[in-house]
Amino acid sequence: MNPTKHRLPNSDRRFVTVLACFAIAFSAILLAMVSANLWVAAADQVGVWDTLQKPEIRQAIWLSIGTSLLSTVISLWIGTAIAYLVSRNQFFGHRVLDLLMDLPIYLPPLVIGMSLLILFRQTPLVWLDDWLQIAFAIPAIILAQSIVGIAFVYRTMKASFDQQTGRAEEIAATLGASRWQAFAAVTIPLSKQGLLASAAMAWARAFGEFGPVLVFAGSFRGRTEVLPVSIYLELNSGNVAGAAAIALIMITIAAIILVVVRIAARDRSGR
Amino acid sequence: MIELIDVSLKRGTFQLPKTSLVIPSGKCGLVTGEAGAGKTSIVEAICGLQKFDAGTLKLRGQDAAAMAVAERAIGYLPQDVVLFPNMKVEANIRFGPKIRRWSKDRIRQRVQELAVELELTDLLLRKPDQLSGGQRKRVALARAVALKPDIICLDEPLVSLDDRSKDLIKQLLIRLLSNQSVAILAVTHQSRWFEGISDLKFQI
Repeated sequence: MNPTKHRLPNSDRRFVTVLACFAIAFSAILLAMVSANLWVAAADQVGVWDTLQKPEIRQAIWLSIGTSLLSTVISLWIGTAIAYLVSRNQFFGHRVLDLLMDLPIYLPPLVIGMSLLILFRQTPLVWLDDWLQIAFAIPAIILAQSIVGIAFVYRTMKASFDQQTGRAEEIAATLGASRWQAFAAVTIPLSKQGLLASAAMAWARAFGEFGPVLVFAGSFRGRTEVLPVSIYLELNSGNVAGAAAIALIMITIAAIILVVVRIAARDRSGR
Repeated sequence: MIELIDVSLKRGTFQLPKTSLVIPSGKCGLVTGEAGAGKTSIVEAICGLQKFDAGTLKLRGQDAAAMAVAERAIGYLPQDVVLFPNMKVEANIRFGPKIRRWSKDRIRQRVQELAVELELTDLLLRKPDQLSGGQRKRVALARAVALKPDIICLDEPLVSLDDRSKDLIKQLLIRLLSNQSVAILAVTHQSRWFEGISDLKFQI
């Protein structure tokens, strides 16, 4: 039963009113932010239209969608694997690894980009970059996006695995399942909500990643230009309406993904 | 055949004293004892879910210490039941046979067989959260014996069951024991109910 459907006593009503004020204020700020973009774009329709007609912006849209989806897949695989390892096993360095996995979340994004750049261009690993052409190319975008995505997936999936006791996996083993089979047939389906949540977070972060991408992949129009970089470039050239138009595109794509994930996350009972 | 020779284990402050028991094929052995005596630990050690510190465990005459859980091929009914919540009753029962790559026809036949024996036919398309306690236990038992294991470990199979469920489980155990190659170990507080099924008792 939903407790908010009861008639609340006065003291409770005051308490809920205070909470509601926070919710209303925050929602108002969010809506105002989105509306501001709409307002600027509407005031300069020519600027918006011109920006959206640019081939490099269209390319940036596809590059953003493609790289963010790919880095989400990479983040899900790696983050989930490490989360399961840490959640189900005790080993030397267990706590250190758990701590380390949070590092990309706490590090300033610019530091991640700079560290990647130094790693691939200023250390003996430069041969790898010369061979695979990572820095200032599309792989750099995917790598920069994945580093933080993996951390988000790890944190969410570890919480999901920790909630499961592991008993279902044990029972699966008594029925002949290998660790792989138990993981695939029992653990992963039971972690569906966590997987969806972590995929959404990893994707959202990757789609909006700016600092590390700018530093590690550069801002080459038509080559490494993802939508956040497009906004940066348009603002630099004084085209605020164009930047607002790109922001609206990003908001629309993010809203679509958010709704899709919410629908997918609903269980069959409609909860 | 299950042979447990001087097995002991320690977990934190809990210490299971040296325990020995032998349950030959075709027999049902009851393990009884006070709450917290270590009955569940014994069952889990036999299934490979807990490691014992000392002693010998033999299954089918072979040392089982190094055997993986899956290799032991034991039909295990845990005290806490543990159905796979994301799967319907039917999928729970066919989990083992599917893992062991039985043919679809054979799996379907086995599920039907067990569904009739344990009166689960009308429940096959339900999810575990739509079942009563007794129904859940019957499903867990059907899942445990679906692969026709020759060693079966039942941890408190009768706790909080209605009489009908108890009768169904009793009939199933009698049928399983009619196959002389099956050895059953049951942890229970209700040993009186096993009269006529079990003639071996082990007090922990």
